[in-house]
Amino acid sequence: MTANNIGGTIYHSTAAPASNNKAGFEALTWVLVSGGQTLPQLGVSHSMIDVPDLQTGFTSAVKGAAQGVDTTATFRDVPADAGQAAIKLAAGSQGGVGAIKIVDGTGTNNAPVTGDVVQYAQGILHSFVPNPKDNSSFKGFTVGFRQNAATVDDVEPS
Amino acid sequence: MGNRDIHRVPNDSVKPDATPRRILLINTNKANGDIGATARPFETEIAQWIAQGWTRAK
Repeated sequence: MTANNIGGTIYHSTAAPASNNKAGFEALTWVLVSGGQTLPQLGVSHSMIDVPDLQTGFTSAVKGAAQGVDTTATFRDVPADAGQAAIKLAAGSQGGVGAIKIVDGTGTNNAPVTGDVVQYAQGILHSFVPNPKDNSSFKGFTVGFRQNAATVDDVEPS
Repeated sequence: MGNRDIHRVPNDSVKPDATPRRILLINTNKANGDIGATARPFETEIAQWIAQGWTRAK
């Protein structure tokens, strides 16, 4: 049966890896960002190069360059959470370079244990926007994440 | 008598480590993210990290 996404968590690293592979991401220091509601989608989109042909009258396509998707993550406010502070700081900084790790953890409080499925991506954190200050919204915020290299699928190392 | 050394079996009591050692590095290049961010890459990959602006922790 298809599973749901409940239990998913997101971790943030303030640095990008030297290499976009498992070893590179496993070397980084990760901090849990609590209060996740919608996690960034990871993936790439390719542009297409149209190749018209006068004789056939058919325009075919060849694959163009890939670029990482730019999606938004939403969080409820968790006061004094180190991960939330770090991700807000990164989104507001001039560079915004960082990496994220999306975890489907089976440990205590959904912490990743050896062998759990994880996904890594590096990119730019940007566009920090707090939720509206009105009488029908909870405290929270959104940040954008634009992926700058292919997603790396891995399992939690020992 | 002949040379007894040829009858010795190889000494396999010293085995290499299964996983390479990790080294603590600190970021010094803003292009990699926050200055001062830490990483613990495998010793075998240190050269690539240092080339991109990471340095060994003192």
